[in-house]
Amino acid sequence: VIDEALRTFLERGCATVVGTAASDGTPHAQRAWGCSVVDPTTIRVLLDGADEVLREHIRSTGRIAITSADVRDLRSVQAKGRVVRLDDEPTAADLARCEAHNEELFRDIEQTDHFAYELTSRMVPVRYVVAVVAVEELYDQTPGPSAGAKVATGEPA
Amino acid sequence: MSAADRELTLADIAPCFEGAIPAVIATASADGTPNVTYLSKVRMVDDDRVALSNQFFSKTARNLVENPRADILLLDPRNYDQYRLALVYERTDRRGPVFERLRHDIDVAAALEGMQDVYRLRAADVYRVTSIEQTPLGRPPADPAALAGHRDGMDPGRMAELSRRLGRCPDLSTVVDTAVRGLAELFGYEHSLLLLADEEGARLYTIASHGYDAEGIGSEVEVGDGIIGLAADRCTPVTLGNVTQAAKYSRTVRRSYEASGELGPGRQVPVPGLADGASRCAVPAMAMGQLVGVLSVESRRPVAYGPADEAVLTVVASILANAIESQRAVEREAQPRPALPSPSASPSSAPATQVRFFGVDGSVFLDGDYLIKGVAGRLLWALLGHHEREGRTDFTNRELRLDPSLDLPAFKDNFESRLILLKRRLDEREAPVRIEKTGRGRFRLLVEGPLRLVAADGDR
Repeated sequence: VIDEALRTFLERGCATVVGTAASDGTPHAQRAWGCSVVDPTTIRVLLDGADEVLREHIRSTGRIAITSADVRDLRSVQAKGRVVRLDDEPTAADLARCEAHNEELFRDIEQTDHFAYELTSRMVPVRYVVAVVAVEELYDQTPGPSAGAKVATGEPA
Repeated sequence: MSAADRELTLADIAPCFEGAIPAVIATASADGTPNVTYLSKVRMVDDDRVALSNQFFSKTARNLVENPRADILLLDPRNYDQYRLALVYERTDRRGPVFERLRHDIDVAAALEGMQDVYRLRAADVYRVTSIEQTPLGRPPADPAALAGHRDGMDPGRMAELSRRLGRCPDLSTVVDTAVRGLAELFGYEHSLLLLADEEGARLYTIASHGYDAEGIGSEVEVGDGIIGLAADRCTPVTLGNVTQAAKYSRTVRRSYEASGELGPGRQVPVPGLADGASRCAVPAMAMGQLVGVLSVESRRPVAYGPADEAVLTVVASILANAIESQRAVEREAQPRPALPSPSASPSSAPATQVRFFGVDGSVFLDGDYLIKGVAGRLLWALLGHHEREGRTDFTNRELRLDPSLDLPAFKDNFESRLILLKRRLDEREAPVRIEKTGRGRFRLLVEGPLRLVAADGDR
């Protein structure tokens, strides 16, 4: 479901957030980092290792929604699926990719929205865990009348 | 007791509700499938409630019908402190004060990109906040000194001083200059614009500015377009603490409407001001129940303005509007003395400046460069015609007001402000033609070199 265009989009310095839900349906939002596409149906994303609620939701339901937005023009895509693996230790490659991703994101925010790096970089968590996500559905989340439409080919509208 | 020592309230995190940074909302459907998306703005309703705008019947809204709980992340634009709000959906408003407040937000966003006809609020969803929690971030807080907020209140001493300064101004030109300079010196508004409404009330034109690289005198805004145009259209203050985000969001929504065929390709609404302005407050200048113009201030700081700024600017705008109307009345009633003899023109060997006039919109170009248009352009063309045909340089406002070629309305014309606008544009452009005030209701045309007047087809 994830084609080359969508891979390029997701692996650029997008602002990424995740949503999870407890077994009783209580939702939870959190920021996410360093998204990469493993194969056309699998995403690897770094999460806040200190967020115990997020980890508990993933352990209990496995369900996750991931929305990535390009801060320069707000083009957004939401992936929905299941976490198939949660690793406590990111690899060196994960961390390097995440750092490059964050630099790009914070630079985009500074240039587009004029918020200083010193502020935006505060969002970076102290430690990460890595979620491997099997993607089942993709939605165009770009603001406008077509927000929420299914993405068939991966190209964000 | 500080906010750190007690339970957080919505009021403690008020800057988070200005929309300077998009919020994040997570919901879940009845079967537990989560949904997460960005929100352009969360509105604080009261001490216990927030409201979200619903204009696209989103998945978020559908989820909340099935499962009324939501989780929101908000960032404080002053320091990037982050807060988590747990919400329970309470009701949907399609009228009433909450709906109107959110509709105002949507209308501002629509006005930024000329989408007033299609981009409208459908409903305001109101939620009860069940918990507020500051979430830990990876790095320590920013310098607390950076936590500049809104102005706390209106300083009556400073307002009185500005009022005194305006009261001493002998003419309209001095009034508008004193106002924008006083706003900077006394209130710290470093970037300001004063725009006046044209005779038809359809457009606003800039007559004074402060703190901009290019003065922008004569730049125009359509009533209804952008923050300034909306303030004029509604005759109410419009404040936006997230100009960058709102403009970006509006552009994206506009593109989406264009892609769906609901809107044709749009024009960019040109707004005079800072390229990187983050906050703007525009207030109408009203006198005798009529819109005279709009006073606008701008800052590079997000969330820079609040209710106290609107109050300060509304008072100043009202003083200005009444001063302008008073000056106009005086000018209209003034009995002119005979025109002074014109100084004899000195021959010059300098190359002639071409002055080209287009009667269709009154635009005037000097050597191919745009100078001015509308009433001010027609006025310049009329003056140069008198100068060429009769060698005249001295004029009275009254005689020109009666000139049918200017196409002024019989009632409530803006002649004086157009004359000031023309004078400033000529000064700004360092044109070889200038205007010099010679007395109440009188002025002199200074022509510094030979001119070649060229009227476009049939325009005279």
